[in-house]
Amino acid sequence: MKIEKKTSRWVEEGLISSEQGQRIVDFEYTGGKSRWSQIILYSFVILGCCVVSIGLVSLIAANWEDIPETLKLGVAFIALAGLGGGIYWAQLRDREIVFDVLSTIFILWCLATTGLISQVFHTGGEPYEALAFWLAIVLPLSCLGKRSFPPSLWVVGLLATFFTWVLNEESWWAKVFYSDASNVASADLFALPIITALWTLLLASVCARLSKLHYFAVNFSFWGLVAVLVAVLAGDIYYTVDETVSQASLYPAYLFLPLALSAILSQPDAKRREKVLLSVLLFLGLMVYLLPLALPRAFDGRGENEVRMQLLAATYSITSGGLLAFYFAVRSNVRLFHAMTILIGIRFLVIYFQVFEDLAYTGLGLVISGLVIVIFAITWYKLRPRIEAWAQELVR
Amino acid sequence: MNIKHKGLLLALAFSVLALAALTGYKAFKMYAGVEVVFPITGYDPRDLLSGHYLTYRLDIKEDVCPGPNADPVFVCVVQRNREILSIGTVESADRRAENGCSAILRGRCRGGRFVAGVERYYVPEQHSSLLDRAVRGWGENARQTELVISVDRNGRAAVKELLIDNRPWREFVKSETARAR
Repeated sequence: MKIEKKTSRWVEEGLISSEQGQRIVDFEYTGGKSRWSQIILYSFVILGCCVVSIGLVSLIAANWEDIPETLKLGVAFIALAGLGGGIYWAQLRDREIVFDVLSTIFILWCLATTGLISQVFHTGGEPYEALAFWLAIVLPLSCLGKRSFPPSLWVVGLLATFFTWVLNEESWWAKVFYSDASNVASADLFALPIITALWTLLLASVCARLSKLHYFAVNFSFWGLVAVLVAVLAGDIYYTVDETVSQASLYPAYLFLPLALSAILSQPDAKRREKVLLSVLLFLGLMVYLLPLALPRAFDGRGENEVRMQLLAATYSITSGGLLAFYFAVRSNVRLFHAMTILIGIRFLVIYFQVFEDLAYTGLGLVISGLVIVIFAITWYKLRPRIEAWAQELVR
Repeated sequence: MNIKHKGLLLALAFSVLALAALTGYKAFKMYAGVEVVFPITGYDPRDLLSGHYLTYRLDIKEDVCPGPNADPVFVCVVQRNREILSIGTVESADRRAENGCSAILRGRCRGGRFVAGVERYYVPEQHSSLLDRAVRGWGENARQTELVISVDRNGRAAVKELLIDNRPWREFVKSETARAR
């Protein structure tokens, strides 16, 4: 369990004061030094080593014919062995930043070596196959990272692998959607954000239960929320286009939705409101695509600028935006809460322009809507304790 | 002997050994199979050179594709003195002897064209244009281009060498570069 969680639990039990808890956390991270300076040092050093590693990959990609292939491979493996030795030394000396820096270079060098092998032996194959191989061989080391970067790199690699796989014409996706194995249809891409959100948040929830995978959980959670936001946008746009996602494109969602909801709702150390809000968001995100498939007649005005569809799109995105805003509020993330409220405000503006196409009516509509929002917010604030008590009675 | 941090050592060894195993497997595929020489040709000028590798297709004139997207397809190659005598299809990769095949190449058909996973050859950046013109073979740049592949008993092929006018591509580049000077 991370030290912050341990100390906050000790503070809650009254074993130590909150000031003592914070001092313990600071000491564990920095040995007493300023935490911010450590974070800045870590970030810049990691950035530098990533740039170096990418430069080395680029040197390999130039495919220097003057260097015999056996020598290229030999140097690659010797470098790996050297880096491995450095990582082991850093572990023995308990040098966390050096450990993570060398681990990052090792992980990226594994990717470079995979590319070198492909080059030397002129292997065919798709980029996602090479990326998947690389992810598999560096996963154990990524799990042993001292801080966030190695797991972050791995999670980004997984997302890159996923997207290169989906967008590949030889992939399962293309084979399922089209019998002639042509490229993934553009309409099916609308379903991609919600599918991504489902599996990343599922993995976040699973990783959150294991202390060793804490940084994986944080990263999957981050990208899952980004995917949710993109899914809200995609769902909004979907109601204004006349293409329809295929049933087959939703098969992964049917698989991941129950798994993700079970994992999220049963997560032990998350607040109930967080879990419920996230679950509702994911459910709504999928309903956007299921409803037109289940009730095609009711949704046949899509893509024709029908007011009904525009209002439906706005209702979905504003509702989802509101749920996301509440989610960030529950997590005490004030900046993201404000950002979501601004986006909701912009969406209000857009819908009025879409429906009325006239400045005067738009202005009037916005004034009325704004007043409604203000009255609602003040009323909610005043009645909040009563509403919360009622809600708690309801779930008891 | 008490080894510290066994988990870390295992994680590091796993990565290195996996890469070593991949290298060994690719090298085995390249050197242990039956050598076959195939003529090649460019099929799409726009995609012939992508990054720093050449893309091309095996120049198989016979119709070996039972359908536009059949998978897998086994092509029987009868070869003598590096000259292909005949090409046909068989049911599986283990029918080499009974069909008199020098090698059976496993691939798939994509859009009616046979693809064996050897349609890519990495080239150094500085020679990419010269090799591109040679493989495309337009006008005065027309060259005899062939690919030497190694086919194992499962029909899987590995690229060994690119030949231009019956010479390894390095020799071709050297002579062309000397001629240009």
